[in-house]
Amino acid sequence: MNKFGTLTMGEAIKIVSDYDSMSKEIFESTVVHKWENGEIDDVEKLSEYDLTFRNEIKKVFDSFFPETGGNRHRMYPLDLHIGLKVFELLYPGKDGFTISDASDDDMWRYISVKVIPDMTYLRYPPKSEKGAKNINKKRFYSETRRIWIKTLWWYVYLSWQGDAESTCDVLKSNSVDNINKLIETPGKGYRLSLYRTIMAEYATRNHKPKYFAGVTKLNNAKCKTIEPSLLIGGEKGYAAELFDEVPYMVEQEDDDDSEE
Amino acid sequence: MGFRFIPTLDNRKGLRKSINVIPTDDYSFFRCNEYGVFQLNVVSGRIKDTLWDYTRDSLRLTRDIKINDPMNLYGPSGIACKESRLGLCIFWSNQDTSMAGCIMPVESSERFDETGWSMHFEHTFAPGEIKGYLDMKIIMYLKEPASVIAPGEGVLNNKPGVNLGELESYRLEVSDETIPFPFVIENADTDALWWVEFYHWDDPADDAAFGPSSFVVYLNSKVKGCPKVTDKGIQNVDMMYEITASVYAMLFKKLDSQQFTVMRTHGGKPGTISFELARMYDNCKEKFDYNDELERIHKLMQVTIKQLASNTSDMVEATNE
Repeated sequence: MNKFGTLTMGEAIKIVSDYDSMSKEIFESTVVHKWENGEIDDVEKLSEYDLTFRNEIKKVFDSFFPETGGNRHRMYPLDLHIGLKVFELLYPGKDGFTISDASDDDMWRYISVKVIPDMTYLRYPPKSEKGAKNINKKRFYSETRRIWIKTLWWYVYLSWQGDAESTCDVLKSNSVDNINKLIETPGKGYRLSLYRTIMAEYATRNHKPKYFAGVTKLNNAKCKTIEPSLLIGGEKGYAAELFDEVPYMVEQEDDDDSEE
Repeated sequence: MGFRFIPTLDNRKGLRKSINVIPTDDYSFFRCNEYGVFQLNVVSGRIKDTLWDYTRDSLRLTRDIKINDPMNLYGPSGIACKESRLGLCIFWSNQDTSMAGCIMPVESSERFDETGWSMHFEHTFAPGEIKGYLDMKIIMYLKEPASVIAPGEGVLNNKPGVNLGELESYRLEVSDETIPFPFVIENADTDALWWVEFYHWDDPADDAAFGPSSFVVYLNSKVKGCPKVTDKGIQNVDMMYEITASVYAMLFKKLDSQQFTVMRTHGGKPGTISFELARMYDNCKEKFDYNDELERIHKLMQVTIKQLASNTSDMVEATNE
């Protein structure tokens, strides 16, 4: 059961367009200034549930964000720990929270725009060279597989190793690009135990984003004709073979489109 | 290097017809909650049970499968070596949650004797685990490879886990997740009345939902003539039809030739771009091909949408500015 409110695409656009209608100078001196101080508008309209969620996420955010120095190349530890906290708070089965809820973009938009807009903004300020105005729309509300807080929940869910510590251990050496590559290629659907097995296997391998991207693409291609759980080695054997099959190229640059 | 297609149920059509499978009516569905287990009344893939609530109830399914003449599946004219062993599973996918999985038969339920090959499946989805449409396919795969490949069997697949074809497919509507046309009202500082943003998708018949996750049509309320919903109905409704027709035409032209063929022949998963385009295509009185020009498709869309709208009693034209 979703205990948050919901926000349709149209409602989200209306709110964000008010921000975008401001000049950059006014937006930064008013809205961003408040957000940088941890203040958000209409906080009195948030429910107790919303506020509890916000406060829990804020603790983690305040703990990890300063270490990034605002440098987008140093955001992964923040993403990972926010993801683990979001998943802990919205654990499937806890307070009736379900996968259907986790698939509800209206719920995630509400969280992004109403409950934690400050953190979403600081994590993903707009890139002016991409033509964005004051708000990075994709990360706030517009693209289903790029809404920041949603992607973090799904990243942890698809990587879950049974408990937070083991999951953190498996994911700690990854990067932001792994989050995007995992979430954005569902193929016919996320095979939950397979994805978790793949993430565990990746933790034992060399970490290069293009390598991981190759593995996810090969997995989607193979799953059209093979069912990994039906192989003699099972999903574990399949995952190992998958990584062995993708050529590992030593000289690779990190893929930077993850920051869009 | 040459290509060879391994024999499967999909490309050995005669073989598929020669094996007798119990009809799909043999799926049984139950809702389970704290009060007990209750069989659901399902007609043509729709749950006719007003008490069913996918957010509160578990969905249990059972399925018995029996194949007569399973020995036809083995040997040079079959799909597996005589010394190998085939298996069946139910592959399920749920687009609305982007989840998928494989249901194996109940252990010890499998029987292979002179009467045929049979097994029993059971699976329970937790409350809220799925929504929208649940697609299920019974897949035949190679369970155990042959240690000896007999003469004539060299063309057959002997790798375990490989999908050797689909026996049947079934679609259950778990909940109604109708997706409206993704219009969004903007209040933009531009003279453009409307524009569309398309997002990335891989397969319009599979992973591209017909909705705001795939594309959004922005209507600029600051420009005169912008369609608006009022309590009297839709204002500037002709413009809305025109915009809708334009977007549909663009969507058709975005399909490559293979995707166009899939759209026309299979449609695609419910709720996908291909599925909705197929519905629109079926409503066109004049058909068109992949190679047809955009302008012709656009014109056909305008005609079709107006005809569909005239059949819909709840669309009332108020005024045109």
